[in-house]
Amino acid sequence: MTPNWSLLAPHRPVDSGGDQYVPPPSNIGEAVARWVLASGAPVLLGGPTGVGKSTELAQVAALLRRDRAVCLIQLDRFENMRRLDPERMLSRVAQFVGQPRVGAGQGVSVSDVAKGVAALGSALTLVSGLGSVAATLASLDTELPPADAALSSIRTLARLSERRVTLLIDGLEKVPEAAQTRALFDALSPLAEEADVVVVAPWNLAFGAAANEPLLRQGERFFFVRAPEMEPFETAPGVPFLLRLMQRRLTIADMNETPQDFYKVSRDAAYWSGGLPRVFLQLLADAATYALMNNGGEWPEKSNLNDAITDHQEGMRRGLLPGDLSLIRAADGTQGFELPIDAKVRLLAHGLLLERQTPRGVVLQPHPLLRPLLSEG
Amino acid sequence: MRDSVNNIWSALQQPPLMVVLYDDYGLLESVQEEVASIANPSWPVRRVSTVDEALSTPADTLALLAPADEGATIEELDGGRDRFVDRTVPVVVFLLRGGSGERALAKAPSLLSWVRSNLIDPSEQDQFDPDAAREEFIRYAGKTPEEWLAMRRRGEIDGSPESLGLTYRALLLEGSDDLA
Repeated sequence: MTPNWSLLAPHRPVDSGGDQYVPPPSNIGEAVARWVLASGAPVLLGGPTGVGKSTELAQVAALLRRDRAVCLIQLDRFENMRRLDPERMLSRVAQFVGQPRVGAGQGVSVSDVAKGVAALGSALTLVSGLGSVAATLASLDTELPPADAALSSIRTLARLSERRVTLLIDGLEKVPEAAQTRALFDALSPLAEEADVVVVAPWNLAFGAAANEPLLRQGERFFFVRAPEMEPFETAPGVPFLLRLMQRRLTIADMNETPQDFYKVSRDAAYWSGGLPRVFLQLLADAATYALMNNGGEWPEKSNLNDAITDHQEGMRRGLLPGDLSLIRAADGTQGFELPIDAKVRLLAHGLLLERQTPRGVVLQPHPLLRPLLSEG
Repeated sequence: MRDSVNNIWSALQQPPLMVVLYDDYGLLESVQEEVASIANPSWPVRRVSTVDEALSTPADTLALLAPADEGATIEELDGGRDRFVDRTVPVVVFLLRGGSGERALAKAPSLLSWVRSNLIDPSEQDQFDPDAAREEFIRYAGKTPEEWLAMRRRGEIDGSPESLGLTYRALLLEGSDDLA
């Protein structure tokens, strides 16, 4: 059996409810879903790029589907998030909650529920009339201010579905400025009265523009999606998690079906990934391409992985600003209190520094791919 | 073995986005042509200069994006990278090495996490390492380039294609140990 390596698709999160989902050791999706059901308070989800935030958000959607009218809104699939303003965001929310969608992956909408009710025929009287639904949908497009349109569409969906609405909003982590982020969150606040709101958010929202200026507000809960622990390597929970993730994507039922060397290559890739699923999948995808290109091989070997690692190290070097290596060296093994907050947020967001749970508490460590650069001096 | 051709080919297999650096504007067109020549010949090719134009190309088209404002383009791609998620053939972004676009990458974590291994710098990756090349020649031929050429001049080397190839490489490397 030769895998279709393109199925690794490192840039693609798992679809909501998709069978490729592998729970991370932290089980963060389940924790968020429990929190939403228990408290209803707004949830912010943060973590380094490539750690699986979008996948976990999609998993939260799948877990809540039984109890809530769930709307998974992937804003970044449609918008340049750097230019997104509150009105545009609310228009998207209104549009998404109101319009029908193909497939169930992103949840339900007013139109979907209305169609479902219409299909019942004689049960039409159960709702206050589909005419009002149609009127609401029409008005969302043109008449109402975006904030009102979003609010109205949420209430309509809650009324028709007879369930509380949960908005799961992906992509806000790509908003770079704290002020822009705060403006977007302020615009969501009125909706949080009517619906559960779970958003993937940038770290500047949690840390603030300065260390003493946390932008999290009372009642908001920040869940941190941390890269799984990779040490001690032989027993670390991150290793089997990543291997299962790879197996699920490549539809490998049993690693015994693969060459012995591939198991070692996969474990090495897991180590060098620092536990970040995207980096792990990228390393394997690149190694597989090198295997095909350099030796005509169907399975990557150690030398192919080494080439892939070199590519990643070069890419990582380009993510560094002058002085970053010194900052990373100084922060290694500490809690990072001495780091300038802007640098800390940036290095954590890039995954250049990783938070690790140790017996001494959570400390910062450089990403494994950076170690050769750090030792160069 | 890694070189820029290998790296470009590898990155082309992994949509949706890749970045190729170039040294000066005079070389941009030839670098674009090089990328297009390495790509699958069945892919249609479109040259574009803005993110919107790249978005408007079909998902199975090789889009060569040479932006006028590189910094702004990187910011836009960082904020809207997921709009490209369904591409089956990559968008190739060309950036001036050391220019505003490459500098902006360091502040574009979302984009960089997608293109980290698909970031090609041909001039850096193809730098000639005479020592490594000599070592490789000696390992393969069992002689130094100078010894090989001396044998060739004495008519002791056959005329096989392999020998001709080695002679060509030896001519390039002749005296390269004096440079070190």
